[in-house]
Amino acid sequence: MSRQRLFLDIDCVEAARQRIRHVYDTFDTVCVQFSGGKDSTAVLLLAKEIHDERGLGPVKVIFRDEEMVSPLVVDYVNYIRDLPWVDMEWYCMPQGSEVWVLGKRESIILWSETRRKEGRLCREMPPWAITAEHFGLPPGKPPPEIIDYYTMQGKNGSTAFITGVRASESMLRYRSLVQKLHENYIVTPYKSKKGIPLKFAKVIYDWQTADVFKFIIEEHNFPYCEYYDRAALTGSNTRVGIPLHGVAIRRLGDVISTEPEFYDVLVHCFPEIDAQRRYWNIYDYDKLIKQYADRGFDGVKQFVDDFMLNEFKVVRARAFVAEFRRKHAIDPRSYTIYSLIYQMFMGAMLHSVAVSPIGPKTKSHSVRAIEEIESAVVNDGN
Amino acid sequence: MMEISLIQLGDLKKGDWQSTHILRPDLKALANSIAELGFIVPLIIMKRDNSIIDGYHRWMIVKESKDLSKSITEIPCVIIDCDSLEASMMHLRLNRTRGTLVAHRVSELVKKLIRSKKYSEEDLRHLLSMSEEEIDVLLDGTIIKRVNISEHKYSRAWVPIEAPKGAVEDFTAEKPPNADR
Repeated sequence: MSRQRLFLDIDCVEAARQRIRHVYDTFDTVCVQFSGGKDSTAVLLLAKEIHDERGLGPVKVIFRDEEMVSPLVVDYVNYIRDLPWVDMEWYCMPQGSEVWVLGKRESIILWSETRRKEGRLCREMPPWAITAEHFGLPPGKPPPEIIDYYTMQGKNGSTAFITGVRASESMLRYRSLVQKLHENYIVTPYKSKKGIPLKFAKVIYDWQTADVFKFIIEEHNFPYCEYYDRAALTGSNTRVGIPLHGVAIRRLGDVISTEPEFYDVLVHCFPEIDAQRRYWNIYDYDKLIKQYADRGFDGVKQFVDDFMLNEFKVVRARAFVAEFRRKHAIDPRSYTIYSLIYQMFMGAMLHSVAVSPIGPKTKSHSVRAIEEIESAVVNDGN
Repeated sequence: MMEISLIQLGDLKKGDWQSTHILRPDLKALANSIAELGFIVPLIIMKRDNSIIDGYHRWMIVKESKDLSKSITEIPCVIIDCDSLEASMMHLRLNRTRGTLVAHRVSELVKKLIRSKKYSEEDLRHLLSMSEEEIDVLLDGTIIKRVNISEHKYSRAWVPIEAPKGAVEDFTAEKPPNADR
């Protein structure tokens, strides 16, 4: 027995409408967590439908401004903010992030005071932003709680943030959406402090990219962020997130082809990333992971030391490794060291996702097949 | 004072610092440009032995083309008095700072050229070595076209269940258009 998908006799849009009605029926406060991307735009429009239907007034929208946001996305979020049916809270909270350059990670702080004083912020905070100081916290230092803790302050009763997370975006997201069988799309935020009455509602979890655009354009005739047309032109990735972390840094070329001025801003703030642009394909993460994986669990330990940049990550990573190690002892072929490091690299242990075995068509699966063939050749030779 | 002279095609040679590569379709577009416009921008060469610091591909195109080498026997060159290390450095400096074409601006320009009727899609194919597909994308490369929403039917909704393996369809994650990204 395993988790499978049971397809229903209704389309994903009708299902999402049913889900969002259920969310509004269940929670005291419902907000749309908006990123400027296509998926959260679709969610915003679903929320508008129910607000119109029930006469609920403006849709409450939360935008977490993570500083390194493309100008096209900022323009689009501003457009949304100005809509009369939107009540947006725009947060600029300092928080830890990372920059990935030539196989190494560096810790950075978004909206850092140091970079602000040096004139190296990607942009200034808008005057309407809700900042750390509004919560009595020092500016430019990561706050003690997760950002969701602050964005849900002042909301009445039980609160749901509707997000545009979709299962088809990655295997990690898919797994997070099939862990529960009942109300699988209503989940507790990871790292959430106990007692915070906040849930995430992933109402469009079963949509595909084409569903999202069809819904936005054909059902609502609503504009989407211009970034997507530029990305379509160049075959670039259609995600609007921070482009400097471990996986996205490989898409730096996409930033240049879609918004070269934004790339210049990023280089001004983080000059080291330009080396990554010139030689990004030499330093891909497959090679890096293999370097650690070749050294067995010693390599895993070294990986945790090198890549888990704060105590929280170290603790989660060690627990993840311990669980993996138990399964590796029973079935080393399905739980390879490479896949362990790969999963940690992708941040699996930070999202409360269980250790997973490797499957056919994965990188680890091919690596294992090659190793088995090589091992057979060596044994035959002996 | 910059020295510019016309140098015989056969007197020029490739510099051992040559580190750039022009892809075949772009070479074709470059050849078309030279055939029509000639050498608008001179080559840069080293005084000592006429090694090309910048413009190697343009020279090579003319040298290897029977037609072009008949009509172009001399090439305008800026002559620099330097040693081979300085020439290597100049080659790198010139090539590292080339601009990059920005797709959406190219798209706007191409649309403008076609709208003007001064240039046709055939001109784009000939002068810029563009393929049908590239012209299509540049003239109408929106996300709406790419995901083909008018033809698309909404996906069926699904819920997770616990079932024997293979009882229902396998899961497929969406992939970025270029898997290497």
